[in-house]
Amino acid sequence: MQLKPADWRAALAGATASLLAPVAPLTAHAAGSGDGSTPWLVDSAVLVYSEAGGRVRAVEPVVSLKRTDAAGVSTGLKLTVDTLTGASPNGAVAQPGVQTFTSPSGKATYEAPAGRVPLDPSFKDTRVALAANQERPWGTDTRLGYGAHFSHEYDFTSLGANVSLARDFDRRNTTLSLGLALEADQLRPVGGQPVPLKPMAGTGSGKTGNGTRHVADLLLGWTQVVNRQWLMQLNLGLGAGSGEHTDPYKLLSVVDGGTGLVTGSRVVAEGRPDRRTRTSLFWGHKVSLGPGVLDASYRWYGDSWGVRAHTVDLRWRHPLPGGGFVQPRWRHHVQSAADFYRGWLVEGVDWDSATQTTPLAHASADTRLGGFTADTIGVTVGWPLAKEQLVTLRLESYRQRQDALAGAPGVLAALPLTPELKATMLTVGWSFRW
Amino acid sequence: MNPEPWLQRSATGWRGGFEAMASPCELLLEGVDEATARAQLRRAQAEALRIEQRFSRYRDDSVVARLHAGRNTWQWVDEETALLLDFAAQCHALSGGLFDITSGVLRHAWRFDGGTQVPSAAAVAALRPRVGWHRLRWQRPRLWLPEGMELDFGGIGKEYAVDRTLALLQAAVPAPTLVNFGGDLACSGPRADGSAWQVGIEQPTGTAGEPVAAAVLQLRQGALATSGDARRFVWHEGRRLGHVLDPRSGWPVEGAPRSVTVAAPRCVEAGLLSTLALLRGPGAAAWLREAAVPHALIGADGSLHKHFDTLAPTT
Repeated sequence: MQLKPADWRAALAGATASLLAPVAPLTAHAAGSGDGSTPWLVDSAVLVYSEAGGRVRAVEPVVSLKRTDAAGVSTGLKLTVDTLTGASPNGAVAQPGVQTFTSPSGKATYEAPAGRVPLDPSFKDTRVALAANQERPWGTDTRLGYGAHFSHEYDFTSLGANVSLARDFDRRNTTLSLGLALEADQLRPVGGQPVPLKPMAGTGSGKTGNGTRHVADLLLGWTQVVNRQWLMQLNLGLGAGSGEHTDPYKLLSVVDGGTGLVTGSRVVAEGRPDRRTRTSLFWGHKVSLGPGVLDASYRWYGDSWGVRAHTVDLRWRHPLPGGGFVQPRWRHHVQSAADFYRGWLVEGVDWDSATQTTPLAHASADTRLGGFTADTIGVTVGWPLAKEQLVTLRLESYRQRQDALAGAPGVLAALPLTPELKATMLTVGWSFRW
Repeated sequence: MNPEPWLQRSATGWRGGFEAMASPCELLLEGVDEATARAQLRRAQAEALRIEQRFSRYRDDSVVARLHAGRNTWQWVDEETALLLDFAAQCHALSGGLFDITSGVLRHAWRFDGGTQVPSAAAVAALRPRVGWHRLRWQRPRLWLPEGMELDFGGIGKEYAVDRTLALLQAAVPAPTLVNFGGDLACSGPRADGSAWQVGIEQPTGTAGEPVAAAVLQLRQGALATSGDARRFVWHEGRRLGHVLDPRSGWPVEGAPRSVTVAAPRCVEAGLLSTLALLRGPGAAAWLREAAVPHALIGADGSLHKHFDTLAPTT
């Protein structure tokens, strides 16, 4: 085949461009901007989360920036602002009649309609979170990462730092990583931190001030290129938290063991252990199959509170003509209840209103510590808007079915105690180079 | 630790250098302070030595040495090596087999020391089954190198180092910069005052000693690469045979220019064009003109031909 000189030179220029592609973005940008910096990859998104039945609504804008400079140092910054409004279950049981509760501040009351799971309507919060991290080469096969995060809302502040090491083996087919993260939290609940497993009686009734909590996490990771089509990842996470774990806004109803009606002290603050150790095992796969990529993972979780969870997450990314993609997703999560999870306290058995004492060491009716099965189904569509710009639209539906509570006495047997949670999430994202 | 590069003030900026890839490597910088110049020089040195360490055929800890040690098995290569092998494959195809990174084996027979020692036809013929890109199997990212074959990135390694180094330097500090590794060079654009860089082409004298500039070229953007046989040749039956071997015959190309300097947007491109021009023998000048490649050529008779229509290379 005899190429014309012009075609021949174009082919050579193309081959050269491929050869120098790893450094090409550097020169292209340096020539254009003149400030010597590599461009930032900006990911911006707004998530709208809405629970069915007028419960929690959240709007969460996120902006993250990432770039890798010529020396191979990558820097990431992420800013999240979220605003939550709406109502959240307060932990008390439904009753045949209207119930009145004191708000956490102790200055107001709210009512729960007859036959409905009581919701605390004063759920309104704005959170600002900032995270920064950097990863740099350390010798030829090792990368050192470090970062910090800060998160603040009016009743909660969290400060954390992390450090990690990743080392490549076998021509980068194997990567082993080790990470350590430390976090310190300060809890400043409205009206003070309630005394666990004591009556919840508004202001001044023995509430303490602020709470603190410290959390440490260790992550061991193994990433393996199995073959050209298959990448596998195995992560072991070990975590320990100490300090205040009790949710200051969650209650337990005290009911009569025969009738199921609220009695005696009526509501008691929940109480959780002040230590929690967690173990998680993540096994993920990215497999290139035909035109698309399958992302499949399984996660096992267990903690010292007795919660055990299994999560399967499946995603299929299918390319579309023109550079876009469509990605359906199914996530299935099953978890068992914490040892101290219970729907209510029975007067005379779990609680004595006369002495205001309980034989229980810990108790919580927070549905997040209960047994449940949850499914998320969704689809993400992405399409390129212009050169190096991508717009994504994600719609996901979440459905959580709480395990039924055994042994509901009297009227409770006929009332909705474990309502389903349904939520819809819509995310609009735009990523571009800056 | 790498030896400290030298750095001196020039009329318009800084001039520094170091030794790498068996060549003097030089950097010209303008519009930066001394500390920045020194930092850029160290960056350039680190990149040049990194590429030398990885792709030199003279080092037993290089990727090349490792690939040679694993002949007759499938070997998985890293991304950078894969890019170079892809490039070599495309150049082999584009040049109709004239450019071949497996032709280094032929050096076992040829010694271009200015003498009259020429290998026997039988010795060359014996090496020919060990030469030919088509004999190895390259299925990215794995490579099968048959017994007896060798890879030699020498034909593109220095140019590749120039392009990469310039890119890295520009990403760090986008000041006017010229990277010159043993005569293969690339610049970031015009100098700080908007003028062109002055580049001398060496006059091949056939003797070792102080090089003489045969011509001074103006370079405003892009890259230059030179291929030639200034000091590497043998005399055979009254003819001067240069060190450029035709991988298809195993013999030096006859009637080739002594040196060909080519301008192109990237040094890798310039290097390939100058090598291929040389392989065309007496047809080198015609081929370069037909391909509209700006070039300067020193003919077999030592005469200089300049074909830089414009001072900037065409794309």
